[in-house]
Amino acid sequence: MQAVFFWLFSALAVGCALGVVFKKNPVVSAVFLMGSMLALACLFLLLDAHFIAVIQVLVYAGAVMVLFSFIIMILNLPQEELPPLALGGTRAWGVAFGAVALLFLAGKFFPTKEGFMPTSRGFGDVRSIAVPLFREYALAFELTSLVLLVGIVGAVLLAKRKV
Amino acid sequence: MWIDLLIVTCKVLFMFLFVLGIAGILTWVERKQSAVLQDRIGANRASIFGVRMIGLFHPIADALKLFTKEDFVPLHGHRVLFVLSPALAIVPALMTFAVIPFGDNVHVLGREVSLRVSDINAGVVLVFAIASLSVYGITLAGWASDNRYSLLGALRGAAQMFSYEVVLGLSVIGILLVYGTLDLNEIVRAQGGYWLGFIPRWGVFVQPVGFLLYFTAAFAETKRMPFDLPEGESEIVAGYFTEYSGMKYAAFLFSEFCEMVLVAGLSATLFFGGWQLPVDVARGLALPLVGVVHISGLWVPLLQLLTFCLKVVIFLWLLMQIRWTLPRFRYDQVMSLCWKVLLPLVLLNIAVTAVAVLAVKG
Repeated sequence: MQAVFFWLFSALAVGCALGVVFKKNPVVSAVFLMGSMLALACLFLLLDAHFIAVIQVLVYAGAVMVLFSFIIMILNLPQEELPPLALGGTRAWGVAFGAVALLFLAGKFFPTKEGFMPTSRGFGDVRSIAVPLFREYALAFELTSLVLLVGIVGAVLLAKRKV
Repeated sequence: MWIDLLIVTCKVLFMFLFVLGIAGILTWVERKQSAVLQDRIGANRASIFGVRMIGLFHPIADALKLFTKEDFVPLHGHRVLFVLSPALAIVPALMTFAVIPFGDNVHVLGREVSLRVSDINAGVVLVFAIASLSVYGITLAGWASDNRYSLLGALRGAAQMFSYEVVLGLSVIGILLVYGTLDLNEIVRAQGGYWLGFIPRWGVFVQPVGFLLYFTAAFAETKRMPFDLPEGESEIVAGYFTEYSGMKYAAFLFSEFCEMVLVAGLSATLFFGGWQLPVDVARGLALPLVGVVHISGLWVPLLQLLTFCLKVVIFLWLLMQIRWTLPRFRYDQVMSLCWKVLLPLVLLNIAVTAVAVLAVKG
């Protein structure tokens, strides 16, 4: 049962990710990206990581992607086809870099002799995320929020200059 | 295994029938209640063999009419997304009910069954996560319609829902701090009993400001008057669903009603004791003349379900009353209300609640 769902949502995630790259319409790409994120959330659910799954939906699918599609619609890019790539070598470089990244990831994540570590009970629920986040990594957490604040202030500053 | 599957199927079916059934009746309530408010008679024409049932057949007549209407798809829009958007609007509205409990756990067939579809331990956050997806239905509908009014409505809708989502999410943090859990069933259990023997231990008495902020933000999320800027008939025709006809149009209408049911259900669960009965089950109900009536067996979950439904209905009445009382805001008023008034208030509420909880619990 779990394996069926795992393969279903994995296929969905990968398929949607391919859709993001191959579709030329930015709004359709955004929808595919949303689908991919939802499939990822379902995979987290299968791992009993309820809270991570919910946050995945809330933050990425529900907030970040909404902003993306909002911006795309405001810009309202013309529907014309993308211009053919002028540099013949660009595509080859892209494929090469992609292959290297894929190999690296495969080496990291494919089952080794020891196999995968099973997740512990309660992995990814609210408590098991909140306690380390606000105890051990409290400083890093606060510093990250500071970085985000700097980003917001910078964005406002850049936008205001035009007015 | 099979019995578990059967139980889950039953719960899912019940939830769908509950939400869709109420949403269907709400189409009638909307017309009738507005009529009463405006001193009219309201919908009363639909009849089956001369039986009119105070217009209760109108939802059926409407459904038949909408199914037989022309299904129009704009020529230059995006066909797939145009067809997909109504589904994207209505599915999140229906899914969110999965974690709302209809009653306490019951013992059936030798196992403990919780009266809600899913026992995900991040209950409240799941509701907001799925509800946040309903923005896509609106924005994509407006974009795929290839119509300026639709696009304007979509952009308004996206901005409005996005802004009020922030307030909505933060407004329940207070109640989560007080009860120390994300599980909606635990929150309802903590609201049982009375203070001083007569004030129910409802969340609204602990978090009055939180409730008002939640209710305002949730109301804005339903996109109904006075927050119906994404539609704004007098300015942008019908906003994001200008180009929609037939049952696709009805799907948007229905998703709005389903969201109302959700807002009502969540208000009852978080702030008004959910399924908690107004009597002490262990001691029984003392009635004058009759004596003490003991509630036992399957009566307990049935009465809990009834209590929950009653609370939902009362909130739906309130939502309707507000919708037909207040005129529409201006768009900039809606946005400045959210970011300049509600957001500071909700942050203040969290800070005050956190200090109070720390002071009480030590």
